[in-house]
Amino acid sequence: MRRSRSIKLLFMSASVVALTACGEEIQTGVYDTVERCALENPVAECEKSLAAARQVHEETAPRFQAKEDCEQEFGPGRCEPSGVTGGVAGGAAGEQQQASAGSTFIPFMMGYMLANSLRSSSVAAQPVYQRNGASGFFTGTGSKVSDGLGRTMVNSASSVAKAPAMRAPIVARGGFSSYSAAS
Amino acid sequence: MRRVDLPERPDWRARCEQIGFDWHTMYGAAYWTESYAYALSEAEIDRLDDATAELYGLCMRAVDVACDTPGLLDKLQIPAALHDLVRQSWREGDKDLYGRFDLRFEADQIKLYEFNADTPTGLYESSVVQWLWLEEQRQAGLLPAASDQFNSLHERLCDALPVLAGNKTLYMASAHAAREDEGTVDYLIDCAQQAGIRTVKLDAADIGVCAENWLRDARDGQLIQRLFKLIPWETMARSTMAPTLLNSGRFLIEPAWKMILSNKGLLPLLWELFPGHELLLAASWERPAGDAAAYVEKPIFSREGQNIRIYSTDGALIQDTGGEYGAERTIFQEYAPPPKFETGYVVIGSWIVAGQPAGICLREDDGIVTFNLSRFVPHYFVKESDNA
Repeated sequence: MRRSRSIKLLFMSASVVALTACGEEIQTGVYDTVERCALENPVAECEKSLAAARQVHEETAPRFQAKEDCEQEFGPGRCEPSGVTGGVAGGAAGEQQQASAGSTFIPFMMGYMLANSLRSSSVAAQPVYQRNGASGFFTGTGSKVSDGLGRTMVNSASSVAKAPAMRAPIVARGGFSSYSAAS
Repeated sequence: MRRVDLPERPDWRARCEQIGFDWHTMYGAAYWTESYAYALSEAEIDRLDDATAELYGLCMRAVDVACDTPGLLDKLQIPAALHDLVRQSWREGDKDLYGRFDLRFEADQIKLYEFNADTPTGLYESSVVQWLWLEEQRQAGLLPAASDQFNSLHERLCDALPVLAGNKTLYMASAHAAREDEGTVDYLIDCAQQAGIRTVKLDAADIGVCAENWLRDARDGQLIQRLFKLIPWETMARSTMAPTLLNSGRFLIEPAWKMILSNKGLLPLLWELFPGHELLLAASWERPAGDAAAYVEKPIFSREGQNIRIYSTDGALIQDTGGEYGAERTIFQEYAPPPKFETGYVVIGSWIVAGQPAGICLREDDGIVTFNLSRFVPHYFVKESDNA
């Protein structure tokens, strides 16, 4: 197709109101293996959530330039160079790999939260992590998900339902604002 | 391709402003120019279409090589901390939205000047304003009824945006102080909303960072999970907020691997990979030897024709456009000025959207280097069979 047939414009430069939503309590669970998950849930859902959580882990796991900084947050021996392993908890085998210059470190994914949805709200599958000196499981941005493995309830509007937190205080702004873009 | 004098639409300024194109006159000079137009043949359009697709293919190969060859990302002056991000975004197939190849087109020969792969502007003019001009001039009987335009930008953008946004809210950022940039973003917001995507417009100054180093809308703290940014990657990569790109970098449109293409280091890289390719001008990382043909020196991050130096065959500097760029390294490209028409030198901008050629725009300048002050002149073509 070479030419435009018709061009429709809605409203150039419209302002848009951000959506807000009220949450519902949704049952989910935190698991370290598909086997453990399958004791309480359909195995297909367990596998699907694990795959989705792994992807979220790869995309959004907190990244650190120094391994020590990562371990300080997530605990000794619980960090690895990014892009090395993709397992849950058992990823220890990959931890001895040397990081190349310019690579970053991420915490081990210690488990995953099962996706679930009600009619109008949902919780997303996501990786969970353990933190240095704390019990239980946490999202990548530090929100506590549960005290241990097994079933748990999560509010769909809470930061836990999605990773990372949907809303957080701003510590810096405007760093990208001095430039000329057009080219 | 030929230049054709045409009457202006008597109310063209008002028509442009009605559709939000209020930057038709910039810096006190005409930007949009319709007292003439350029007419191309269908065969010429076909060649531009094919060349654009082929150039994009060459660029994809160049990205592949740059990601796999040790040292090349350093040579392109991409900060080491972002190399993993660049490679990951490429290997995992993060999709790009658009770009504009600037082409020399004369005597059936097409040559690439450069690729504006990250923050090209002129989009709305090319897509909507130019098309409206065609329709109205056709209706007025000033253009042949069968005249057409190489322009599928609107459809392709509207198709591509939902794929890129996924089910996420699409944040749309530019520096609002730059009206032309904001206009481009306004247009993309319109396309996105037609496709049913939730959008939030924000000024570059309102992009913020939380303690965990994620990009957020500084006005309400919301996490940004998709960000179209009319802000150059190289600027973001060197800003105080650059560390947040390690977390949020995969959420950006264009993807991080576009840093390889929006970099004039692409030109010598392409020439090394495809020496003598018919669509390329000779280019090198090192200054050509003394007896070489005339050449141009360009900073790898220059925009809008700034800091371009032209050297004659004996190596003497014959033009220096000056400007704010050039602190980074420079590259060298064979000197091949754009073809000159009655009113100026013309460079063709050829758009690519989601990997598909999507139309052209013509920029005309009094001098041989195209600046942001160059005139935007509409084009049309007439099908061969209707041309008799």
